[in-house]
Amino acid sequence: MQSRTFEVVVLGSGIAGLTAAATAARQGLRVALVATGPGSIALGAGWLKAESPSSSSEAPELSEAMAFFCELTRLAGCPLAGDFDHPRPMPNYLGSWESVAFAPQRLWSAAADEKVSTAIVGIRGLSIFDECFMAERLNEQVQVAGSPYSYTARQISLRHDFGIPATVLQIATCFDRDAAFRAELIDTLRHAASGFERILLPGILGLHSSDWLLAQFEAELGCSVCEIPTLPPSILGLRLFHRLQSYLHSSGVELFAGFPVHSLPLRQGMCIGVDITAPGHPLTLHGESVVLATGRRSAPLLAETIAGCDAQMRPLDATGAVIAQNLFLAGTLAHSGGGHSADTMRILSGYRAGKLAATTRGAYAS
Amino acid sequence: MRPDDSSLDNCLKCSLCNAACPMLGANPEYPGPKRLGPELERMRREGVPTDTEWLEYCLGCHRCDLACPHQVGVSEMIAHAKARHRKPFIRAVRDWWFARPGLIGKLATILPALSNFGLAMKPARLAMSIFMRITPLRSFPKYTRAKARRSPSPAGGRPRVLLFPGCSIRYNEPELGGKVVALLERNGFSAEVATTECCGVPATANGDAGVAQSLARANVKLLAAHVNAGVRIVTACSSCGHRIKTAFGGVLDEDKALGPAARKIAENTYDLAELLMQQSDAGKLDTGFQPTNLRLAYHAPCHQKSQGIGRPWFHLLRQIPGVTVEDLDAGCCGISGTFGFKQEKYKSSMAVGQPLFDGIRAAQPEFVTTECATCQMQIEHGTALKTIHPAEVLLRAYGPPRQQAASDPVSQDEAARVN
Amino acid sequence: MESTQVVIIGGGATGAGILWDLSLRGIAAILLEQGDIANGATGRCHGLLHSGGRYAVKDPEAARSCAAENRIVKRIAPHCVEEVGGLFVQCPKDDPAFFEQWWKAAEVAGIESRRLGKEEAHHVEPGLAPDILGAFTCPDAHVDVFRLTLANLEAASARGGKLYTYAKVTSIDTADGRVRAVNYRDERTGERHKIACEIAINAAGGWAQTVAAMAGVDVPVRCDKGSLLVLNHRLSRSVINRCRKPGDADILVPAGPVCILGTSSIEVASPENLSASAEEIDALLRQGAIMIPEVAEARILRVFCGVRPLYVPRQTGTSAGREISRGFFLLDHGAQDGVGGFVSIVGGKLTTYRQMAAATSDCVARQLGVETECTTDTVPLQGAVDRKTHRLANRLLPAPVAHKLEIRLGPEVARVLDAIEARPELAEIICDCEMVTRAELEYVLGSEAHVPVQAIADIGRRTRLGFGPCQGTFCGYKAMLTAYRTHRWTASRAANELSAYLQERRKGQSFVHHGQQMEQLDLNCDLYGVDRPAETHNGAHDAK
Repeated sequence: MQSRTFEVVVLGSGIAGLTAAATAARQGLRVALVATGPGSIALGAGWLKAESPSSSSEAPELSEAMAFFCELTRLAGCPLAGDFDHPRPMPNYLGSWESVAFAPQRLWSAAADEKVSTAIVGIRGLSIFDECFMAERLNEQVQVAGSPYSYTARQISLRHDFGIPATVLQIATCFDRDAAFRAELIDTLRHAASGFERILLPGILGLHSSDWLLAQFEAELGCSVCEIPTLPPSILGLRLFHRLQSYLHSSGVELFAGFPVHSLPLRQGMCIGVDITAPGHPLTLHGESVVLATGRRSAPLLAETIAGCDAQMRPLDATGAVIAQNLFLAGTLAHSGGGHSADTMRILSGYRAGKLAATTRGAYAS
Repeated sequence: MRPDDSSLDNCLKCSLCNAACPMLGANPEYPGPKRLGPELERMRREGVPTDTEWLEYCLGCHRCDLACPHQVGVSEMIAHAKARHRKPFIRAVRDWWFARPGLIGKLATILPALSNFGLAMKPARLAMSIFMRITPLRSFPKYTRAKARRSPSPAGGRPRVLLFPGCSIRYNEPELGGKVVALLERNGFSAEVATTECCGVPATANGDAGVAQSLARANVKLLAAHVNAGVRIVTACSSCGHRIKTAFGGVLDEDKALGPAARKIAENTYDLAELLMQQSDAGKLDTGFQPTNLRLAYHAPCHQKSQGIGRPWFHLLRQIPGVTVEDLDAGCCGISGTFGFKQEKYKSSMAVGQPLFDGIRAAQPEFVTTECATCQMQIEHGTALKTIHPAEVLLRAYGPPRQQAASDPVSQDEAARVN
Repeated sequence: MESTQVVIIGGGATGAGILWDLSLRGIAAILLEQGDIANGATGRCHGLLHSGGRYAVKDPEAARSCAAENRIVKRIAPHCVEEVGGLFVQCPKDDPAFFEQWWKAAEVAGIESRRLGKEEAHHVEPGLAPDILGAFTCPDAHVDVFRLTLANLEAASARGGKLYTYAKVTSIDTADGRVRAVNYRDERTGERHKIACEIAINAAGGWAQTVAAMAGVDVPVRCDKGSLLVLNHRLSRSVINRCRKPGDADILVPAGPVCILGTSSIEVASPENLSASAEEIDALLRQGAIMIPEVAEARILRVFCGVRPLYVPRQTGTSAGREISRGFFLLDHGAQDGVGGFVSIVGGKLTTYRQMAAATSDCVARQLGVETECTTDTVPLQGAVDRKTHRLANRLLPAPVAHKLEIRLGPEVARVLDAIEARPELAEIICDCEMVTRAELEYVLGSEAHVPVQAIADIGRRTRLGFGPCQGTFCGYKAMLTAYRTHRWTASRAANELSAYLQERRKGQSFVHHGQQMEQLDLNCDLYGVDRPAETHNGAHDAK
């Protein structure tokens, strides 16, 4: 078994690449995941931007892909849940409601349609989050909708010195490392928000926290607690990404993180290698199939410009010919119309590409 | 870094580098790589005063570079700024020495027993603490004079490699150099140990660009002829490996004569595990391992991760029947070479390594294995567990030691366990 | 109803300079500006404090004025000026005869200059293209246009001058052949107001024709658009000029941490709804790269367009924008058009703003019977920071932050430092790209600010917040929260202000059609859940 030969090599660890890698790995194949960054989910709110299936023919496969992804997140310790037909309003950092169809299970209790008394708790020194601003904004919109349940702003002080200003990154890192800090936080929250059925916090509850740990936290606190997203560095986004990446790592996917792919040499219509720019000399990986999920602004890796993809997710050149038989597109690259692409569509294309890459492996050319 | 390097323009302010920075995680007041790198670089080019003591806290671990989705040369910008950073006198004097482990090694190995004794004496450590701000809480590595080297066996058609020993093998554990040669020869290479200068990582880390350059020039002159003759350079220490692979940190980029030579050397330098893994892939690795009951935890040094070669030691060790290896993947150890020896930096150094220490304790291995000598020091200091170089594990697993130094106390223990 | 002696219409450098000049002479004046400050040509130019070199050959009179005013502005407003110096470089393609002509003309105009050979030029400016043959030095400088305008307004306000921003003049009342009052609408509230006055000054730049028409006077102004590119980091130490007949993209100005490349010359119908086409931008880059090759690969942060308001008296035939004299014209409409108490000041350039303001103020003072002479050439606009305060700043704040804070606030920095000592959380850096602290933010938002902030973009003009690579993506949010807290905006207003601010910031970025800023804009749009703005190149986009 060669250390640099894989059955599937996935380029890009955004949501499409992660899905493709997970799909191929589930089939028991040797998968490598090559990436220079986590993609937009690590910068986002931890929930998915969803688009309903555009055609009825796409709907069953999209359902299947979403079911797979949700199961993946469950195994990874950050379960997502939801469905297209029942989106719910979730608060964002502008204090507006966003219609969200798929979100981490744990965050659903932040939805606006929950009819419970809520404290919005800010932390002294954490300037990126203002609980009064958030409470005022959410209250305005709740009143407009006619609900009697309002949001009350509260602020807590932490003993720990997080510098000026305190940042979500520091607090989340401390949360990850220090059980005593977690206990102190629970205690302080309990005092500050006693009598409320729900506490909304900025996203600070750890960069690596598992769902289990957060459930414990909530149980000890004694009321529902959920996090509101903040601008990057987004703890909610990073947590989702870290958990997915860790899960893939522990499932045997080999990660090559931090080095850009230089080129994908082709020969006779087959991709024969993945050349990664590393210090000194390049690292070359060989994949029987290669999934390209490097994002909408990725540098061109092929000699020909990709003009679209066929029904098998393979890249087509300007004349409509398949560029490489064992190359599969996923994510925004697969939607060459450009522009905005919903996370759900990226998951679908990642799922498809992963399955195709796993099942239609070309003859390996060394 | 060239003064007009434009990777600064790639920064989108996403803060992913900050999220990956081990110092930021441990020290809340640290400004972070985003600030010290691209943000201050923009100010530097504007000509605004930007110097800050915080530059000294960058560990040079390159995790920010690896985390950046857009290839901003963050750590290079910080290293560049460190070279222009002004320190108060005592720290400047101390860091002058710390920039020159090669010089310290040469001096200490004149009379190694005396040096070791002196460096361990309490009054001496107290004096160093007061007058040089060197923490008394750590032990210095022991210096020893290299044994007479056996002449290299004839190549006989085998590919030739030259081991760049680094200061650790050269001045502290020369027998490890011998073991690496034995390991290489067992696996189809003709190997010898080069006599080279310090790779220059401590010089750059301590802001001494002049020394970094002169060391690079010396090393290039020593290695160029070999590389031109088709010999590959191999390193057993990942910091030396990363350094050489980046053409000595780019310090000779502007040198028209030696710059190209440095780049050619970079292209022909391999990490020891990388080379062995290539042999393994080609079916040429000697897999005659004896079953070895050993529970190991592997710590990949930061400068190993930054080489972009995957995790070959992890895969190699797992080929030994009976050995279980857990890949700790628990962050930077925190010592960053000379950094952890600085009194004012000691606390940060231990705070950075805390997650690793916790991870090791949770894994409960018999030994921790890692290829970086200073990571070894930190792990032993922080967990009181013994560490071992992965090359040693491999070599021992081959069975009755043919070329091992019988006087090595650790190896005697190990030999007893294994057999 | 308010009444005063003089109403000044237009809050660019000229209008601000007039307010300062009149306040020094004890003349009561109110300035009305339809936007924030420096809304027109002042806020949309290179920020070049000309040495006069650009006009030496073609317009020696203008060159002489520039040379003199250059020295004066450096004396009265050193905190607004970065004395980076300038070079006029000789490109191989350009006419060598012009190069020699320049040398002689510079001497005649009184512009200090040294001749540099090829090697010395490259030594002094390593980023120059290798084939540059030589250069002349000159005392060009960068002037922070917002800071300069603000300095005049603040100094005037401290001396009794009044001003209203977001006040759009809607009509001018005349009676018996004289201006009697000026009517304006508060753009934020919609309320209408009238100010009775003896004299109205039309310093409206690109809108001068529109304003003059309100008083029944024709002042023909041609709007000549120029597009400029803001590049992410400094590519040169000094201002780089191309030594040839003025053409496109022949000036690169280092401006704080960025540099500005421009410009073009295209006639447009109005100073509003300006846009820049992809071809225009590419042409600017191509031309700029001839002098500094790195320009070709530089990251463009945003594209903005400004209008040179050129006065074209009816008698002159039409000619190209650059050919028309850049000298200024003071039009006393009482004398020439039978509308008394109405004066227009048109043409000119930023560098000579003070001279224009002086001429206008002299005329107005004469009409009001005030005999005080002009002293704006000697009275400084801001004091210096004493050593004790300087040391305190460096103790409390990181070096670059302290440096910039001192420059922007001058002696007022002492108050801000006191605030930081009392409340350490004020040392937080809100804008990472431009090193703006929370303390400074609260200062400009505070009730003692002479020129009140109404929108987040106004904060940017006073502090450079949002002027860096992220274009307000991250700092805009924190600035909004700060304004919510201290300025006591309602949360709803705060959220709307942020959305409006970011939308405006996006427009300028949307013109950038290649490079890293496209990804920055993608990120901004992703984070705030909006689509990328549609890129239209001909109209409908206000490009700054």
